[in-house]
Amino acid sequence: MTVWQWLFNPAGSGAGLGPLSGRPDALPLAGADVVSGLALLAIALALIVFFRLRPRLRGLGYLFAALVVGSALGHFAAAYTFRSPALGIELVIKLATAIITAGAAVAAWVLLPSITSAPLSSQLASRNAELSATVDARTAELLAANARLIESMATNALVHQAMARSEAQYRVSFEAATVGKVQSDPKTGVILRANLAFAAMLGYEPHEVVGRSGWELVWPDDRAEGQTAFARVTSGELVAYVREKRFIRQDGTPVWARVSANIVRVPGSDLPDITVAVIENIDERRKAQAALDVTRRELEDVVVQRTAALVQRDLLLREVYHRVKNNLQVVDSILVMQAGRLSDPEAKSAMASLRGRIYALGLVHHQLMGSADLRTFDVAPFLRELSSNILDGGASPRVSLDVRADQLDVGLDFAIPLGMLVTELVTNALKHAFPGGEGHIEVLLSRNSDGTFALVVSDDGIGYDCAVGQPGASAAGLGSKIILALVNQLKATMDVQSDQGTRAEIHIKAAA
Amino acid sequence: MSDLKRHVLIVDDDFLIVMGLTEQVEQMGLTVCGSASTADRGVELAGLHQPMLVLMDMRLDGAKDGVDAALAIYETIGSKVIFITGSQDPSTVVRIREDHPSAILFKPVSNLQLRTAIDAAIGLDGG
Repeated sequence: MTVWQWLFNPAGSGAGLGPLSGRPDALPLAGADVVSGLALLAIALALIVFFRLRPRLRGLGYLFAALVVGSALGHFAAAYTFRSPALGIELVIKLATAIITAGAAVAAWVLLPSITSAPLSSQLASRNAELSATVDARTAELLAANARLIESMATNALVHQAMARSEAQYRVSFEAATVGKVQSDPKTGVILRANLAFAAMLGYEPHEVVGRSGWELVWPDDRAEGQTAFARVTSGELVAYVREKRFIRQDGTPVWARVSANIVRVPGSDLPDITVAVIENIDERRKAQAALDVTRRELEDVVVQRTAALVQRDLLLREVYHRVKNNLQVVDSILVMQAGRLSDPEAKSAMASLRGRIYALGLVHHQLMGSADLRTFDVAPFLRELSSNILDGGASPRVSLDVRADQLDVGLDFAIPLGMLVTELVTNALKHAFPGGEGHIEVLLSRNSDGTFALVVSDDGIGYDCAVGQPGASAAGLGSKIILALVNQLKATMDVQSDQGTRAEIHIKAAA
Repeated sequence: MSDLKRHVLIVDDDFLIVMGLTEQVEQMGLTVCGSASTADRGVELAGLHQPMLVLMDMRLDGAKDGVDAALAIYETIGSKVIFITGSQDPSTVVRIREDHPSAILFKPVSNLQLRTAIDAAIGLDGG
């Protein structure tokens, strides 16, 4: 018996199984089996389609589909057996179906926990609600954050605007300033920013000096000192750097400037951050000062020369006065010797008068020599010394003298005639007024309010018999002539009164 | 001082002045023992004559002046010195004060001034 026979030959194994073929209800039964089989095939197809989309359960789904297909084949086989008992094929199909079903059962139980762990739709709904709440909260947070961000941005914008305005103001004050302004690196001295005024002072454009070392632009002679001073500012020893120094113009000439610099430190530290300097052009002032200095030095030279000339002149004048006095001493010596050889008292008296006159001349020079300017001297002490010398020389101890004179600086040309006039008048009084050898002589020089002077020589003696200038005794005659000549020389007028004693009053227009 | 003679030495480089002074001093009853025109000669004569008084000019012939001579005389002999000078420069006067002058007279010197100074220095007994 072949396999095919075994499968489909009823005589082979199930000869007795065909009794239903002849029964009338066999046909509907076979029909029901066929319909069930077809329906099961449709279900299997639906399962396959369904589980193709569910990868996780695909294996189980296919197992169920195979199980259903097996059941469908079982129904078809059952329907077939109604016509001819084909137990072999039915056995094979049912065995296969049984195996598949058992496998499906096992797989179903094995997979059940993982399948049941998959969320149910109710659970999903609750989780969905939670998620939705979370999302809502987050959204709210985000909205709030956004609002804050917008606010912050607005604030920032204001700050930026303020900073921009401040920066703009600073830039204008920096760029448009008429004094030079520079910002530089405190460590290297490199110019970071310079305004037009500074650049123009040196004959540059601002961009031509930016990037260069500021020290490079300083006049070489002024560089070392400036750097030393600046180091003291950098170290904090000095608060500010203020110096007058020269810069080099583009054409190589120097220009004087006054630099005031401060160092801005890094906030919260001592580290130098930036140098801020104001540079003022003081070239004109310096030049004017220099010109002034030159002028002053020249003036000083002139003063020195003039002073030297004056000193020289003073030396010469002193020498002249010295020689005049020496010569007068020589003349006096001759007179002394001459008088010693005379026996006539009148001649001796004439010699004495001469010596008095010479003494007056010498005294004028003596006063001049002792004066500060060698030209003028106070007349009062001169008249006092002159008069008292005449008086003492007259050997009349009982004649008293009073000399009063306003303070008056006189020169040689005025002092000589005045001195000689006083000499003559006092000598005359001494000689003629006091036969008893006793009396008082007064010499008075006063300045009038109109600028004129009055010289008064008076005595309380016996008075004159003859007016001055009239021919009389020979010695008195010479004295009178000299008096008149001196009055003329002084451009003065003279009144002589002889009531109680003699009073000679001489009016002098001005002191020469 | 008692060892010194009642003589007067005159030191001046101007002969006429020496003569005039000599006459005046003699009229006062004093003897002039000599005169010199240089400081060195003055010192030499002072040593020789031991005068009580020297009339000393400031400017003299030679390099030395009256103060040099007066100082030397003062130290070696001790004579009194009356300076008679034409100058009254402060420097001159200061220099004269280095010595111990009995008096400083300025030319031209009146007879009275000379007499008074000599009387103060050595005393004139009415002569």
